[in-house]
Amino acid sequence: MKKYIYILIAAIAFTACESELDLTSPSELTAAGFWNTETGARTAQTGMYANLRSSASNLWLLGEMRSDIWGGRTYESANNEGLIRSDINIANAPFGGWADIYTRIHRINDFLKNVPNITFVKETDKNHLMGQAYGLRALYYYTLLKTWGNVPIILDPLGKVDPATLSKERAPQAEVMTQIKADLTASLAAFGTDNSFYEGTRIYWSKAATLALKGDVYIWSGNLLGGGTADFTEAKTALQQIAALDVSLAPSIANLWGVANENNKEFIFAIQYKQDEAENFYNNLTGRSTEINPQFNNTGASMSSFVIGGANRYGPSEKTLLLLDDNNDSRKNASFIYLYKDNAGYPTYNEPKYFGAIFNKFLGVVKGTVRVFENDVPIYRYADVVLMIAEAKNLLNEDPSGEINQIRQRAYGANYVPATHAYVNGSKTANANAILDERYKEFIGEGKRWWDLRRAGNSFVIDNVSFLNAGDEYKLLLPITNDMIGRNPLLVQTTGYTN
Amino acid sequence: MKKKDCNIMYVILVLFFCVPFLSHGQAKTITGTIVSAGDNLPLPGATIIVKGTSSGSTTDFDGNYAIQAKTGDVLVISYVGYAASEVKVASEMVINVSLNQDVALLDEVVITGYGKQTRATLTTSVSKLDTKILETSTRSNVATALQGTIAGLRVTNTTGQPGSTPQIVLRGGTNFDGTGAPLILVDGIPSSFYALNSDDIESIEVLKDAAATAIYGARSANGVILITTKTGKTGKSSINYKYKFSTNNERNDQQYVNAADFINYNRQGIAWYREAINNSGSFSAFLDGANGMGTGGNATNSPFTTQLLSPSNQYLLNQPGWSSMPDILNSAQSILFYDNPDVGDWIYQNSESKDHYLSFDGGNENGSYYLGLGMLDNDGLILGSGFKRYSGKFSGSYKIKDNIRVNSNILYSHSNLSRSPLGDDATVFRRFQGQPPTSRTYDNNPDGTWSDVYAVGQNQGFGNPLYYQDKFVRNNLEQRLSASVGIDWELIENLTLSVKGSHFAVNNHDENFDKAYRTGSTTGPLNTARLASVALDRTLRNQLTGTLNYIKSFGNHNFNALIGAEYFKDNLFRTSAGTRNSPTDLIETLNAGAEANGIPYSFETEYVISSAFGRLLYDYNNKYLFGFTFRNDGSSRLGNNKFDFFPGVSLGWNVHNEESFQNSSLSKTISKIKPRLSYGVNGNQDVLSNYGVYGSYGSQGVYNGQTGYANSSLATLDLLWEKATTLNAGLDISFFNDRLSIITDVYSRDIKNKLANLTLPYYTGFSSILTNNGTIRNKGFEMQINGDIIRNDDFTWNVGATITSNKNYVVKLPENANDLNRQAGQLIWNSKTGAQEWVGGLQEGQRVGNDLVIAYEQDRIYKDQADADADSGIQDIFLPGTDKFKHFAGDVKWVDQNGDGVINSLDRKVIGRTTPDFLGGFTTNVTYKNFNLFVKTDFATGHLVWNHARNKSYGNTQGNLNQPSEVLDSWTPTNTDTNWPRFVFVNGTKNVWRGDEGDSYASSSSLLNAGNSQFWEKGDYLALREVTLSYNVPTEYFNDVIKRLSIYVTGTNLHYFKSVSGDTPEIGGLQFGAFPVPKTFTVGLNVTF
Repeated sequence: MKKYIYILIAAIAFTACESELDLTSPSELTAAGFWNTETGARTAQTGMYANLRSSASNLWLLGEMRSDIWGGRTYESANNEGLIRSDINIANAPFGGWADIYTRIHRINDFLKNVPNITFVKETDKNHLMGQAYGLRALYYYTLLKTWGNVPIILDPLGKVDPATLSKERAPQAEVMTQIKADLTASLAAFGTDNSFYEGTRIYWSKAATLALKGDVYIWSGNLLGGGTADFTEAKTALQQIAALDVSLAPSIANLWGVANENNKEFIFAIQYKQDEAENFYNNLTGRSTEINPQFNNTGASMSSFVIGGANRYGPSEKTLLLLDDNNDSRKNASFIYLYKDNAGYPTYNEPKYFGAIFNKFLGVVKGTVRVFENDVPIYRYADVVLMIAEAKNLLNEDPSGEINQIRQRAYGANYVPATHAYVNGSKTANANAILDERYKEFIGEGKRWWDLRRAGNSFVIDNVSFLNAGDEYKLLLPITNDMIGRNPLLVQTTGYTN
Repeated sequence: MKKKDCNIMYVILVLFFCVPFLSHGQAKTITGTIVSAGDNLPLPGATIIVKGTSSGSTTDFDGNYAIQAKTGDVLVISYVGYAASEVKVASEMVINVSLNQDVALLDEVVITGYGKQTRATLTTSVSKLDTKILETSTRSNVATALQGTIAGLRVTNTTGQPGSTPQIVLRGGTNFDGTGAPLILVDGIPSSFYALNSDDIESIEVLKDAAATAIYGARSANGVILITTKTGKTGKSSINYKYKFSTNNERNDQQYVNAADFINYNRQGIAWYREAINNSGSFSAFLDGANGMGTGGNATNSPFTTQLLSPSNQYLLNQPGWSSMPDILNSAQSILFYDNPDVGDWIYQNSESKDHYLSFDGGNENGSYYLGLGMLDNDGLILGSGFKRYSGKFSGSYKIKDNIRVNSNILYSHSNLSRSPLGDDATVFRRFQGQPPTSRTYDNNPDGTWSDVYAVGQNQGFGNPLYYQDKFVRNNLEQRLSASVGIDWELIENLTLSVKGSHFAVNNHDENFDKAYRTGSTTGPLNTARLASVALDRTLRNQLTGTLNYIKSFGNHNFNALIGAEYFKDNLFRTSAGTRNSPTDLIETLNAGAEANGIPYSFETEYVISSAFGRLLYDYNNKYLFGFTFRNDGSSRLGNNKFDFFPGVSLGWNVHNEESFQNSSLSKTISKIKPRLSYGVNGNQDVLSNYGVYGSYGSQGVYNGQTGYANSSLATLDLLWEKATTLNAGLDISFFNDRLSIITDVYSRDIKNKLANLTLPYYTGFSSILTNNGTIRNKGFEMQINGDIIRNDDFTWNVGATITSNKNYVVKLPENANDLNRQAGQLIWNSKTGAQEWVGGLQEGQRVGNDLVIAYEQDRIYKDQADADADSGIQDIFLPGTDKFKHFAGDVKWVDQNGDGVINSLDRKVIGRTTPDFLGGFTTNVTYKNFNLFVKTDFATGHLVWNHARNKSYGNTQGNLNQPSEVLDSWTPTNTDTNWPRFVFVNGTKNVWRGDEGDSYASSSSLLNAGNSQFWEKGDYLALREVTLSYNVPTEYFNDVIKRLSIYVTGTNLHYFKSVSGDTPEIGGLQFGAFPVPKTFTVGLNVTF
């Protein structure tokens, strides 16, 4: 009898042997084996763009919300009024946790560390991927620098965690800028002579994108970090290379926007949106049918059949409305649908009857009875490059009017009358303001204006943003939250913030 | 499953093996029958012993016995679960005895996991539910019965949604945020309370201290709840039928303002906002658009009725409910509106529930069976909600050989959970219930009368519930099956081998379909996307358990030893898919869809636990008690350290069995006294995900047609088992012949190597990482009291109480660069020390701070502008305008804690916690003849509540939300003596909360850390949870056809004694809109044939 007992116990025990505990996941990827193949590198590459897309609304807010574009009438509760009014202090410090940018950086670091060890079928593909990753890392660090100034520099993926040595200081801006430039160099080196757009589409980073970013970065470092002429020249050189890379202005604004025009040659790098993958955030700049359908547009046509189901969190400021209020400029109606309370038709802005505006650049497409916000949203397009060349030229004391007029001519199209519309070279400050105004009209909603003002110099920010006054210069950089310091005691609060 | 009955075995052993059978002279043979009092069913296996001797006998299947005894002997008749009875032998030859069910707390039988014990020999901390609670109320979820009835357990009914399981936390939980779900075993299978039929349940035990739970090793740190379902009793067959009918009624404490006040306060609030922010155009759409307080409504079908009075619409004033008044902002114009005071009630529906239960049971010496069938149809209180359940149960056992018994147990349920199609509880109770009183329910006819066409309202997330109630079809079907087959084989004398295989399957099926619907108005756009989707979740759990149990006594040394092994596998598989653009509302399934909506999905994950376990119980003459349990568990969820050992040891001393005690005068008062001491180690693998230790590359979504992956967590292969060690001291004591019984426990539970998320600096790219993050400690005490105040034949009065208190401390944390190795926390000014101080978060040596409430302290309200201007030297950095020194009459004057002239985040104060200090309940039971009155209450004290449904309305950051009646007390130029700040639109001057509306305890701007103290409320409550009056109809009327008939009425959730404004004081902390449990009235009947 005892024999049977032991057999039974052994049988039970056997079913519970240790090897049963080693499971492999049927539906999830673990660290083991992820970086062993080219396939892994390519899914990680896709991941980088999906992550960038998740950051897109933050990049937009960071690049535009503190400028003078928004803050006008909304017909629902407005968002981010604190940013618009530069009402910023430690307690309400926005974008706590560095706007999640270090999560993106960790993953790019992971990519840059592991991809070189993978053998690709075509090494050129690998080089292109490396060029993309360095370019994206430079974009992220540039965003950090522009937002917070001094920030930690992290170039390796997080490995083992030792709580005792985790705290890390903010690196000085100059070091951060050096790192950004190093990444730009590494990106260009990786692209080498490969001028192609990955898979022939402009929704991936490319050599042209790195050059556009390089121009942007060098103007900044030349103007704000003491780089001076050398940096401006470097910027101009980089920007002027782009035209040869199958990049050009769209013939008209009508050919630029709309889902049907995606991947046009003006786009250098755009974030892709597609139904069932992800929709962009510009639905927050529209509204609900409840409010919109009873209104009329500026030609007096009823909005009753306008298909929409969004929110109205941001309204163009009166300054924006007035600046754009030129019916010869195709950017006026390309930027906004103006809503009025009656059907009289208002060719120019009419305050008592003005109800609000719908942002028109990225309105997606109507499919059935639903609007799908699937416009690709450019990070860099050629108009941006043209006007940055103008900036570089102006800073180098050259005449920027050719570039400015190139943009105006496209905007006015058949209405362009050189005598009235053309810009004539003026003083350096006048030129700078002309470039800023042109960029203002050109890039509404594209996350540029705050950076443009900043890049032009502190006085331009103070002059244009009514919520900032002399003495508020420290507010151009954001404070960090107490939570960030609590997690990382070596962090020092941004200079100037005491509350 | 037939658990080994240690006590019967023990008695049988004593009778047949250990003690020589001696007989005395002049004995006669006495015979008789032993039955159960009340139902008169025979009790087979009852023991009869001649007192003071070792002579004894047991009853046979029909309850008959025979024993040799002399005149003058005393027969002691005992049966597990019944009070022993003593009968003196006189001249009679037949002695029939009916035994009373034993209600004495300290003699009850408790299930301990892989076995059972009487409380008399128990050395660990185990609570047992008084199943009387299960008999009368309609319960769509049986766990609601645990509220206030088990000492040490915090049971929170978070929603009135029928079917939903309350949150259950034992002894403060082992997680930093005070959570941690106990392991719930239904007949030994890891399961849950969901869809269980309370009528199928025989008993519920809660294993609390580590020595009790160690037998469940790695899953037991948060306690173990054992649910045992009914099995057939040996004896006569019986048929039982139960029926309950209930009506559910709203408990609607939230009072809102009427239409005129709504319009006035909101329009004024917008004006105040504009002034404060210095922007005269702000929110103009809320003044003149089609909003609740805006004048953009129309005479027929706009969402709201507010409009400017004009000759073309003044005919509406002839209709009831319509009126007009001057615009508070512009007396030159008048506003026409309709007052719709019942608008908040549109979310409710008539609600009833019906519960049928039919059971058959019986058995003989060879086998027994139990069959149960149940049908519950429970409407929810809010539109479209409800729960339907069909349940079936079978259990049977059969003796196939003298020493082999096989058994099987099957539980099946089929349920439909219907949630409100309008959205989650917060959406329904904040948005839909909080609709402005100017809302339109029906469109107007051209003559101003109401049509019968429902107005649409704003949109599907915040519109007319009556219009939207049938637009979103949400069907749920869940099937649960647990089935087991087991064998108990007595291999040799005293040694039994039991093997049981069980299978548990859950198939949960959700089908959604959106019919075409409009937004804005009946002429608004028609959305015909007609999204259809289906989701199927399947859980499979397989378990194989084998045990060997050896029970033997050597003289006064009693042993009960058990060893076992167990294998458990849990597999979850889920699929979902959706379509869009179906052409018709008539087909709700995917086949009519024109194209896929989103990406079809399937996902599988599993984990395995393999274990060996054992237990040794020893007692010496029922005086000195010793218990040892262990489990060696391995889990697939850990990396390099899969296995660990979890032991528990416990001691007890039945002082009352000592002769010296029995001889002392104390024994006249104290009938039983047993001190207990236990120590044990438990694991917890709930905090681990199935493959998390291997690091993960998670999906980042689809970009350009490809799915991207990225590192989303780091590999942590070296994680160790979290180990909870509990030191528990207990005292079981009873007085006055067991009429007053008390069970008390004090404990200290150290959760070492706590598996928790360590917050990381953000530059790492991770917010946190799961790590063995220090040690936290739960300390507390719990007490259960039971007293028979009156105990007569005709009249009994019993009272019971439980009380629980627990606090969580941080003992140790990994070294980091902060003081006290602090993680997270908030920096505030401590006015006592006159220095800045970090509070909350985790800090060594302090209480766990994640339930801390930190608020800005309201000093008073600025009476008038002069009063406000007097503070123009005070800078308030939260003010919305650019001038932070400009204060307004009616706004809050904040306490400047550090007196530095700046109101900032340092000026916050710790005002309390979100978890209660004390909780528990009281029950009382009065029986008079055939009448019985049962009352159950529960309470909790010391927790704070932020009722965001109210406070958000007071802040009106939603726009079209009605205001709570407190707004009527708010500051206005004519009501200056008040504690309620003026009502400023969108919380414009930050009077209600000063940060955002987040819920994170780590964020310095969340409601938990940045609210106004004035809006925090004390959650103390006492709930009159159940009152039942029942009547046992005397059975003599029924000529033995009916053995028992009782009828009763029950009221549930009748009243809350509370001060909180909302209906659900149980939920501590933030309430974003809770679905209160309804007030329910039930009539029921229970008949046995």
